[in-house]
Amino acid sequence: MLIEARNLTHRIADRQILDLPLLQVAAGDHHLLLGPSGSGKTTLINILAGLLTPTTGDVLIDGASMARISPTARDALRREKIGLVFQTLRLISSLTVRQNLALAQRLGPGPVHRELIDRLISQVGLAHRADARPRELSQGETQRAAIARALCTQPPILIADEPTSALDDVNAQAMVDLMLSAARTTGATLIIATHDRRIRGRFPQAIELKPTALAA
Amino acid sequence: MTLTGLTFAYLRDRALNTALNVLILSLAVATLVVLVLFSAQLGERFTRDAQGVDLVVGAKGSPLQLILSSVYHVDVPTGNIPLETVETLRADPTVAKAIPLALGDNFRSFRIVGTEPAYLDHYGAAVAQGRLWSGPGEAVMGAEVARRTGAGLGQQFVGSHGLGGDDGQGHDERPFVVVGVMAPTGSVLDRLILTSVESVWAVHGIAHAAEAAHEDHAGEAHDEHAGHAGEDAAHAHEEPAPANASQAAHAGEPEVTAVLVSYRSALAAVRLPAFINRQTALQAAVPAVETTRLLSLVGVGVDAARALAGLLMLTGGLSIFVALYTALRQREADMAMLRVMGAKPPRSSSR
Ligand SMILES: Nc1ncnc2c1ncn2[C@@H]1O[C@H](COP(=O)(O)OP(=O)(O)O)[C@@H](O)[C@H]1O
Ligand SMILES: [Mg+2]
Repeated sequence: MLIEARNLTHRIADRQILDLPLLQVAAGDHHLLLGPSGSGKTTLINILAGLLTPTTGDVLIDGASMARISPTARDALRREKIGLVFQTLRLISSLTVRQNLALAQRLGPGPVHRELIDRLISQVGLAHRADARPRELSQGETQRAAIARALCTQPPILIADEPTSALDDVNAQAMVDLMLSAARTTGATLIIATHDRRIRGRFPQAIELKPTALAA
Repeated sequence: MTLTGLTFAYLRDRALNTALNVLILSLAVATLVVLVLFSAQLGERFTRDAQGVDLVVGAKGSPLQLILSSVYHVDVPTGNIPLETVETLRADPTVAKAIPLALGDNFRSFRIVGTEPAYLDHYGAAVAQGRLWSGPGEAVMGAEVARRTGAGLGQQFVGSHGLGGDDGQGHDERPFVVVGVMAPTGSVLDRLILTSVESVWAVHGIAHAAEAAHEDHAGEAHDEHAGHAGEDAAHAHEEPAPANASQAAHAGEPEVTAVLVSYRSALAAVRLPAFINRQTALQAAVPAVETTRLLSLVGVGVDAARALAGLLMLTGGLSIFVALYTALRQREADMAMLRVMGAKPPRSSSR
């Protein structure tokens, strides 16, 4: 298993917001992470990416225990293996779309690859907005730029948090197509958190998160 | 796109903010620099102009005024003293140098000073163009006077009564002629017009005779007569407001305004000032003492200005800190994202 987690729970102020007994994702798998709003999808993604330490349980990425390695090693592991599309997108506001992608490539593990940047920008339909800054973009355009940024470093694991929430039907399908085809091309593992019914049928496997309203 | 590129993108994004902050800090630094330079220059100037002058002898009055008027040429003199004072001082074995100064007139606010060549020697001044004065009415200009008035060799000019401004009445009948221009010295001489004591006397002798014939405006013209040295007994009784008692008492005798004295031996410092101050008409003032007194007065102002500049620095620094802090808060999300993308956290941070 590329990603494996057991007995993951997370509590904030005595409130349990995540309870996941088992998670197994094989290399090259494409998973949906399903659950209603507030069910802990974002929390789980942050734990998988090593950005949040769970209250109990551990995550193994390629056999490496996130709980046991140092923060620096965790940062290095994330840099090497994981591309993220945050729900809040987090483009850098002082940089243009193209510069945001270029910076990601520069900081990432791979080589700087200008043609890939240009190709991705036009694949997400932002060729005419490549030199715009995030504040000049619509929510949907920003979402597509964030997807392009995550793809431009060609990560072995791509995790996207509700990447189609602000997209119309056509764009939502196009972005899912893009992520699936990118993942197939590089053999990457794909996890997409969503409660978007429009894309459910595209994925064979799903991780279901139930609302955990249980008080401890 | 590198992290350095990102830094510049941040700065460009807030160009006005950045520029204003840099401006505030530069203003504060500039104020401080100007102030430090000013106080340094002030001290330097005060010391240079008073260098080698151990004692100034003049008419009774404020010692600070005497020093300011005869060493720095800024205030009006306290009055005049008899010329024989110079001889008395020179006869004293403890006195190395006694340089007489006769003040009273100006040319376009630059003081005309009747003196002796020793005055130039005292400041190490040299005539750059032309020669020293030799005959009556011949004058040597300081470098700055020549530059500011545009007067050159051979130029004639008339002095005006008083020590500043051109509002006084001119001595049209007795023009001076420029026979020399001094090289710049960085001392007070640059701003003076030097001539012989006799020339100053002569101008006033003639001028007063002329005024006696036109009494209608003689009064106002003489109001600011602080230091003329008149030979003409005829004008003494009609002088409406003689600058000092000695002028009336010694009317008709040659006078000077002050004498700059350099000691030959340290003994003089003990004896001479006391000896002079005992004489009713004379006063001796020590430049070093008065300068220190003045600088401590000015120093209060300089200190206040320095405090102000310090405050300005603090304000500038604080405003930059606030700007940086705000920027940092605004970029916390960016920082987190950079780290997610693989930027190394700063070395110092350890968890
Ligand atoms: N930092 C936090 N402090 C308090 N509550 C939080 C925090 N983060 C998440 N939660 C709560 O945890 C629950 C799960 O959140 P989240 O993982 O964002 O769900 P989802 O992404 O599925 O909508 C929500 O009820 C949310 O309010
Ligand atoms: Mg969420």
